[in-house]
Amino acid sequence: MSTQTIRSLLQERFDADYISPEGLLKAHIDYFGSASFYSTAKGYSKKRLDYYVTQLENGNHVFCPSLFHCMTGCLITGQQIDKNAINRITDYVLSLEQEGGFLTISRKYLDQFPKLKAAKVSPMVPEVYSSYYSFFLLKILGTDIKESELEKLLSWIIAHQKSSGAIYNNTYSNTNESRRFEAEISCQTYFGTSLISTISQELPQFDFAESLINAKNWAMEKWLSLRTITSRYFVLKTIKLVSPEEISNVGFSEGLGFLSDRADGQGEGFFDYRLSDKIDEDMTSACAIGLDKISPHIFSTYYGATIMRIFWQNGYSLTLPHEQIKKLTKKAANEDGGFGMKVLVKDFPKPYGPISTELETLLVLLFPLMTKINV
Amino acid sequence: LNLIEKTRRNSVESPFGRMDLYRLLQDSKGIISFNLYDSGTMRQSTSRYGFKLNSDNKLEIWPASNNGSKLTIEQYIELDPSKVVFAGLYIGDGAKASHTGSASVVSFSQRESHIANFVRNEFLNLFGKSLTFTHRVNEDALFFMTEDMRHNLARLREDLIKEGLTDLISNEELDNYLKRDLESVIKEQPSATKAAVTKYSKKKGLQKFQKYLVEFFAYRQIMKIYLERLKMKELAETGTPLSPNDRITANIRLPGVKGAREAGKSSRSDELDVDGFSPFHTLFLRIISDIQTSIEQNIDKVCVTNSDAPWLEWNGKPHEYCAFSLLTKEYFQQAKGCGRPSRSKFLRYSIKEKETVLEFEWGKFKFLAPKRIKFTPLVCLFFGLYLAEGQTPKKKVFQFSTEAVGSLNVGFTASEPDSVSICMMAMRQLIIGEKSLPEYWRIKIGAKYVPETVTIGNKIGSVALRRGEKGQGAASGFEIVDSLREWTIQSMPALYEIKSRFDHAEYTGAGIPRIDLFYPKGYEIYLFAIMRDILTCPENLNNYSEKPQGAIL
Repeated sequence: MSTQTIRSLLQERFDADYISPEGLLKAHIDYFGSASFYSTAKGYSKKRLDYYVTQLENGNHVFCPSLFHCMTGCLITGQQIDKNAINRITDYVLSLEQEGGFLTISRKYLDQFPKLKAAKVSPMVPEVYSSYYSFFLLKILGTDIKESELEKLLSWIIAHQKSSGAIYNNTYSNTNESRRFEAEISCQTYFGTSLISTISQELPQFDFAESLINAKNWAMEKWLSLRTITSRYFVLKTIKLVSPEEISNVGFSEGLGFLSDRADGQGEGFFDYRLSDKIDEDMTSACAIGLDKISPHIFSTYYGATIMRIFWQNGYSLTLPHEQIKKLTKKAANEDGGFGMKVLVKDFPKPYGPISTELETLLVLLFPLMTKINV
Repeated sequence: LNLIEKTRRNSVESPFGRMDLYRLLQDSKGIISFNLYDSGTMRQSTSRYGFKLNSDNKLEIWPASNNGSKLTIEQYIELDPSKVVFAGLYIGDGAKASHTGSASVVSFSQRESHIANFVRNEFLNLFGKSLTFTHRVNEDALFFMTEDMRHNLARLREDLIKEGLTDLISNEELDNYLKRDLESVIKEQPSATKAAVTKYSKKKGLQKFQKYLVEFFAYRQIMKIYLERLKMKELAETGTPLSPNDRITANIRLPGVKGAREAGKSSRSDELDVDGFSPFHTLFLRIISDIQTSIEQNIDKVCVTNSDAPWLEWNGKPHEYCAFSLLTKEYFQQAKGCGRPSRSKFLRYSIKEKETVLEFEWGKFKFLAPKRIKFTPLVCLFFGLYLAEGQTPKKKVFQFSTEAVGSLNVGFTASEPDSVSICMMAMRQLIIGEKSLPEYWRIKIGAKYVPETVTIGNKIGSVALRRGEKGQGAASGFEIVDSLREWTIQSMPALYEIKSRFDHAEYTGAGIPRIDLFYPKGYEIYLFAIMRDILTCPENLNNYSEKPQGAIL
């Protein structure tokens, strides 16, 4: 395990300063007034990790983002991961390598979709986001990645940077850039930029400044047009990563107004988007939203607060929404020990997708660190 | 007995049971509610009715707030296969939205004329011959923007002038009108139209169609008459002429607004409104929803809360009680229309007896069917739902035996757990063995629910991807696809059985998250022949049926 890797990962990806597990526990008690969120989130991360390791042992397949988030949760809470589990995960992640990038799950996963499997263009291709998770999983597990492998991954990422500066693989998902989902393209561009930035530090013989600047320019250009907190977050993170001195050019007042428009009226964090942002894709006109439901989320609140934190770090005076974070975290604590709010579609009784997720549980663990900016 | 006889004469024989509307109203003290889960929305409403039972068993019903709207119907309504098919059709394609404090329409949306006529007749059977209807046709103006259609409109204009339609402008005036600039044309429109055009101009996707606006305003009246006459012709071709009080009306939308994407493309929808029936919307939806729920749950008696006496009573369990059974082999070997025309002959299934079942063969496709197809309420409700929600173009169901209609397929679309469950249970009664199950299924998500779907990805830390330049293909970002599959199975538990047959998810133009079931090839004619005959030729079924009243499967 590499503490240094975790430290830089937390700083770069989650804007949180790494401290020891004991320090994290104390930070939780200071911030939330008790250790309960820490304990449940810690237990959830371990429970999920154990489950995934068992799945791998039984020959089943596991998604990389899940492995990455619960492993990170376990490591920052100081949980012992036995060597067998580490080897099992390492072997699995290494097996996902394809063309230099990484798949998000084993190729065998596609066996259950005969028609997709038989398609002329396979959907099982390495993606930028899955390569990011795989690479950093290997790093935090302490895997020694050969220079030739790093070069391969770097070349693969660079090959998927488009002339616009955005980074994504369009081998299967060949959707025009204008019709790609903004959260997808901004997230993948950030992940791609982060990979280029990290790997290029280990390969100083190569100069990737142009790629990074192209990605940053794309991000600067996109900033104002984006409607969701997630996409703005990833775009801002891209700018911060490549050219932090340009952050002040994005417009802090507009950015805070944007966040304010997405703040929950009940003081429970941030929505990712406003219902009024829903548009008919073809007509670019507003949708009827009378029966739609919306909820603030842990991820959008974390990302919104991070945007504020970055603004503050760049000299803008503001107060982080601590009370909102605390209220939402309490509300998002679920019986399974994980954290997350429901996504609901109209009157469908079942929540749309998972309620607790490994990422949101990790974000709850990190809230006291990310928000620690002395304001 | 008279009622039963009457019902038998009018539709497929042998009733399933009956509804006692007087008991429903009496036990509810006139306060009628319904809950119907539809398109991801719990439709619900409560209305208060006054009612009186006359000595001749005629029931008078009126909304408590307005005794001017009065409905006089029989106290007892016999449930027969036609009414159950009708219920399925209305659940699929009928207006179910209710608006508190304002009128909710009773309207059926269907372009295919045989189906629309069947529904119209069933409304008359249920609520009396005094009902009147408005047939509404809605079309996008882009439909008319081709040389062929312009020619048709010009010819119709000439005919109308000959017929003496006096408010048409002269040919010279029309030529001049078409040369005018858009601004001057819009200026003279009523304020509502001006507002609509202003809104229209702001939509990026519609700007390319603005060049058609002057032509649209010049020909709007002719377009409207063209569609009204077309509708009248279509209705006449089904053999059911309009009653004197029925109306036809067409509405032409600004180019591109209704959904046509290019000149010449149609985006037509047809509605059948029951005139003046809004006050009885709640009562009607209560009847429909209780029919569906009792069938889905296999309950033979439906009582109002706190009452022991049923207001809706099936003659037996709705999955088992059989009104009559069709002699499968005889029907498909001998009955009119149970096959497809080829160049030289009429093709039918090859049918072999195999112990207790029949083996049907059509080309390389084979399937097993029962020797007697039992007409249970479950099967009839499925037929109605299929005719509304089936993926087969509806006109093919009514034309396959007389014309070359191209390929046929059996597929069913649903967003409601009850519909999926009814479809899968009914198919088990119609087809024997493995082939009664869908071959595969997929999830479709309308553009409006993309934000919720992307949110799933954000919660997990994944991204939503899709195939196709415009994003019209299968979704990837398998973390999200996996979550969608789990959600769908939880929401529609009938799918659990075919969990492994999930194929893919895709983002599509409109609509709530829903599923498409795709069935194996081979039994299209087997199903469509029966559906067609229930609606248009019940005697074809009667000629090959046994009538063991109350036979249990």
